[in-house]
Amino acid sequence: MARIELCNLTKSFGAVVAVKTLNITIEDGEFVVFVGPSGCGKTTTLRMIAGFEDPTSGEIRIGDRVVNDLEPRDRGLGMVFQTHALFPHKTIRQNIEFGLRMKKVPPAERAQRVREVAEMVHISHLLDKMPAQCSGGETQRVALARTLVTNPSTFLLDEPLSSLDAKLRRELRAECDRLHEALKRTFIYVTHDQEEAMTLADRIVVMRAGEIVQTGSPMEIYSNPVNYFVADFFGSPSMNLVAGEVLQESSASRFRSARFEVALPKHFRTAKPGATTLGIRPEHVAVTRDGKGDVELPVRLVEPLGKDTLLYFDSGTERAFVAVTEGLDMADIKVGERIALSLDQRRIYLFDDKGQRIGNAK
Amino acid sequence: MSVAAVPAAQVQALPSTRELSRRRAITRFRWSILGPLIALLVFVLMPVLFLQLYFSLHQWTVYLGTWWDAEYVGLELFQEVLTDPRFGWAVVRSLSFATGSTIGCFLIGFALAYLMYKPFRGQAFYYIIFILPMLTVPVVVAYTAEMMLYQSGPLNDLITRIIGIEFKPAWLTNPHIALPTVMLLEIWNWAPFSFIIMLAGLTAIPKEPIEAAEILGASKWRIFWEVQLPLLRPVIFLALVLRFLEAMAEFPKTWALLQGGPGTATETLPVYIFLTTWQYFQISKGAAMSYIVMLLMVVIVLFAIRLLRREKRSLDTMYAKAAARPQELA
Repeated sequence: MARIELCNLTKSFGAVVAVKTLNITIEDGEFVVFVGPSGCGKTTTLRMIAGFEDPTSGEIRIGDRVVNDLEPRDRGLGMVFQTHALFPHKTIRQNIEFGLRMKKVPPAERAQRVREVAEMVHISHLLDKMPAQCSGGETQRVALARTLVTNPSTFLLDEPLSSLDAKLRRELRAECDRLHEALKRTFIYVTHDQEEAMTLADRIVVMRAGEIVQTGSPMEIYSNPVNYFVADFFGSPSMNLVAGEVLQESSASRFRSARFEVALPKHFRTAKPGATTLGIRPEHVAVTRDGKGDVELPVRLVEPLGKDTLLYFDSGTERAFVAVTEGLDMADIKVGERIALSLDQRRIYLFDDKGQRIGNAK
Repeated sequence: MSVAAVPAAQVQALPSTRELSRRRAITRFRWSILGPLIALLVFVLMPVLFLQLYFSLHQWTVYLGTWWDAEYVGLELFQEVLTDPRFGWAVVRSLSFATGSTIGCFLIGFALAYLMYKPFRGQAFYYIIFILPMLTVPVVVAYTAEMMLYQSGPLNDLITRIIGIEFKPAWLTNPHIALPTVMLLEIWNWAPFSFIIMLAGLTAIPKEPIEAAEILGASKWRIFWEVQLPLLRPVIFLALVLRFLEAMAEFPKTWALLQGGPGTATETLPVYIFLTTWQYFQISKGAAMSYIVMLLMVVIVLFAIRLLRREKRSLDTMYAKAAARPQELA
């Protein structure tokens, strides 16, 4: 019913192309997260779906209807904004009620539905307050309620949590997830936060410079990035990326960088020799104290986080080489100590000089 | 302020050198800003006010003796002014002139601002066109209007040709129309002022609430009525108050065009005061009148300030960033 299709969607502001021939179909009930750095065109895409921006070319279909020329209010969508979007001069109740009033729902039914959604997002106690009396988290709950109450086919969420602190963000993230489960509506969610994307999405759409770089489930994106950009963007701490070169010798392939030389698994036999970047996620680097490993690097920083300990090694470049070890066993390692590391062969990624992934590790 | 701060500082720890030099800089800055203003008040405004007070308590007429020999008459002149029906009518005229032109300026200014607040091609051009009247010297407005408005003049002629019926109001000589005519000129002259304020106000409204209303199904009219207008309230008050105060003091156009006539039809407060003082040379009566008008204006200004303050407070609470407070669990 609310399948949304974007066909060759393009938007330019003067000479700047914000969105370039975007093609994607969002299925009914799907939770899709558009993610990318600021300026990548994700918000512009969302605003085009909402109807606040007119596409320069291309089509937007909701259901089977082309909606390019429909006003936002006729598209049957609901939207939650990043900040400031509540009506500051109306009480929370009036805020939530607004959409129903515009649709001429009779007062008794209105009151009933406001009560229901307020309960659903746990803000019943706030109904008679003003927005300025609510905290940031409460404000966004109200914004959710105001959208919920109109029962839209699709929810558009434009970085709804980015103005909140980390704890509230996690809480409201869970709330979004729960609502999606309960309502079985389409959610289109825009964020620059890879963690939000990973935890919420059925499908992630990674954007960069107005184009889709990769789409896929969070696990696919995480374990099978198509290029350097995606590999670097997802994961916290992010993937270790070391610039160097591939050497194809008669017996085996090797990767060499300033401080660093490792043998490569067999499936990289076909990789072209030359400038390459090696990538490996911190959790796939094993730290051993007995001195046996693929490489030995000096420690630059030790970060005991409790559940894990992060070890930052000097890899000869500005960017530290990070390894995650469980618990606090490694917390006593001294800065400057040389430690042996072994890389999980199956989890090594290679990217060519243009940033494209080489081979397909599995 | 800085004097009061010293003993408090001594009780606590001795302030650091950095803190001291910071305080000195603030004090210096404060005086460099306030100094000229205080000088202006003490050396210009206060003498005038005292002189005015002196005149209003002494009966002096320019051609009868020197002013320092004038006879002390107490509050007699105030009594005379307050019982003068001509003064009463001048008050009524000024108030209605100010009210009418303020409303006119506001409606036109707001309408233009509403048409202009979203960016479009050629915006700057229209902006300049709309501002132009405000940049015209009022006396020039008056003389141009005089040429345009005489009974068989270009304006009436043009309207007659357009509507095809004889159209000949005596804009300037009919005592019933003369004040509204000046009002229209005032509106033409100063609607740009309201336009600028309202434009600034409209552009300052965050766009999210408007977009939220839009997607929740509100029509343009509903959005205007339920979102934009309430958020603009403080700005609207400001535009109205400033314009009203200015209009109360309007003199150049009224004087250049009609000198209070025909009869006393356009004799507003500034015109009547000027006539009394400089045409009838009743300096003392003029001074007493000025004092009364000043008190009237002070009352209006205090009321306006109270209103503006209240509006500003409500604006502050409306926009108080929830994030600025410690975030309790939602």
